[in-house]
Amino acid sequence: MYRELDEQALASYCSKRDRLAEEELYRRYADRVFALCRRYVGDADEAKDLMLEALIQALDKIDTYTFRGKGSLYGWISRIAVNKAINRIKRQRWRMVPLDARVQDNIPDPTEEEMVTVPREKLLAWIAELPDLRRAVFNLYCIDGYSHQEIGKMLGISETGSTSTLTKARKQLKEKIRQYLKEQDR
Amino acid sequence: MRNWEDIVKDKLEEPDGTLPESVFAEFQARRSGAAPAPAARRSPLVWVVATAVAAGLAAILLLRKPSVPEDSIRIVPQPVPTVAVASDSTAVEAEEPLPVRPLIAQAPVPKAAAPKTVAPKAEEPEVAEPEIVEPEPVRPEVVEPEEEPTVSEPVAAEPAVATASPFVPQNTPARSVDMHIAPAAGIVAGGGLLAALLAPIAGKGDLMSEQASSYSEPSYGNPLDCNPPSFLNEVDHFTHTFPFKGGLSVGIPVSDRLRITTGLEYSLYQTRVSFTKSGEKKQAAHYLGVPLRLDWSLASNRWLDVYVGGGASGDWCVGATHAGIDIPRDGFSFSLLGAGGVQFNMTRRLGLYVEPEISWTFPSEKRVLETYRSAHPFLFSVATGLRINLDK
Repeated sequence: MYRELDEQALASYCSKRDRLAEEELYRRYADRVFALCRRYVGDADEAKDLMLEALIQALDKIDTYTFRGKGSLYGWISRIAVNKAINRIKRQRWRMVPLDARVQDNIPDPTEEEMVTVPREKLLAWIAELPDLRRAVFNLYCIDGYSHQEIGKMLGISETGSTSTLTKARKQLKEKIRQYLKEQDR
Repeated sequence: MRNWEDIVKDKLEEPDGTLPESVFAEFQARRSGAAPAPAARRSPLVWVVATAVAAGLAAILLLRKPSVPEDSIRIVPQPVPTVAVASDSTAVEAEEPLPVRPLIAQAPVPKAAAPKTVAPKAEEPEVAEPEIVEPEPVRPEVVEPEEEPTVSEPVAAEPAVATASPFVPQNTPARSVDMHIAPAAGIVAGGGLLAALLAPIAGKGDLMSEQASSYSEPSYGNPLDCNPPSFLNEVDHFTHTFPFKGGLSVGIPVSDRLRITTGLEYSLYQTRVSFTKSGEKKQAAHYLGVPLRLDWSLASNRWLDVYVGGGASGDWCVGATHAGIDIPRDGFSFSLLGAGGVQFNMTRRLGLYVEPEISWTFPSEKRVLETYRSAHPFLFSVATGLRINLDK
């Protein structure tokens, strides 16, 4: 019965602390939220904890959710998960900024055909290798669609800082992709 | 043709279904409250800071002397008991009282209350202790007769115990010791490092260089006295003290690691000028400098920034005194800087920095004073101060 519920009805049942509705919410969104968390924190176990925290917080605050069309419930939950991930990154004790003088400039962008051959797990692993700030900015801008101004407010950095951090993140990822493609060609 | 980032987005946005069933069970348990959420992982730095704070508090507590308020246990000297000589009933002259008075710790009693112990002899204590509320002198009616020394035996045993007590001797008045624990227990890391770096400056000439000079420029002397015979041609040597530097700095971020640092820096150069005839006179020169530096952040977190940087600084001598008398000052000087530093972030925008710094001052004809800087153009110093981080 709960599988056919739309987002608004599902949220309404969850607000009444219907246990089956809450489990349905988990089944619908846990995988996607886990994938999102894994992009931000890099580690699978940490991503699992973050996902559970986000879902539980979403269920605790489901009364504050306002339906804004299809997909808005996942958007609301994912915003909670992103905020939790950002807070965790900001709480990191040491933000080691690597000396990346060896990163080449002017690395050509991978083509669409080349990118098709790159496995998802490799992309996740390379993104996990990025420093925390670069990883957060890349995820927020390139995948989750936040602007540099919004990213600056969320992370406590300037817009210029966000832009330069994204540039470095892109360079680092492109270098990894190029190295992988070079090894595949051999 | 699609952008490579869009392809990355498509690949990563969709779930891959790798979430195990056990996670669902964990979700159910947490939701029902059976399983608590795992404790937040703490980085080792939390333990380091906690250990440092605990060590600081322990050191303060160990150094703290116990307080003895006036209304606490007091040392009350007791009259000297009579020592028993014979146990038979025949009257025996009591021996002279022991020279050592027994001491007994007594709980506070009202002045009108009777003493707890009964002295065998009605003898007032000789010591005048105005601050002690002594018990009433033993009233004659409760004094045991001297002919019955056996009664005093148990009391006589007490002095042997009392003399071995660690209590304050009888002549020492009881006083309350008021101690205050310094409120600096909370500032551990930054204050300790700062103190260690400033110790040479606070010391009496730990880092000094002696320079014998036949310097006899007329600028050394009272400017009001054109030809002071007591100064000219009498400088024996200069003893320079390690300079003190402090200031207010502003950090302007350029990128996530690069920052422009500028501000206002005060430097104090103190020198002891030894004259052959008139002895030693103290010279003090005060400089205000405006540094301009580019800093590279090596590592940073919410509490700490570690960086290196290089740049330049312009300094103006704003005051110079010799034995308290104003003397001509140095002109503008220009120097190159290289610094490495640590900044403790007190708030999001305000930090306390400690910067060991190497500078090289360009030679200038406008320099007239003999200071640590003129003696060491290639100068190592330690600057400290407050930094405002803009747009952090």
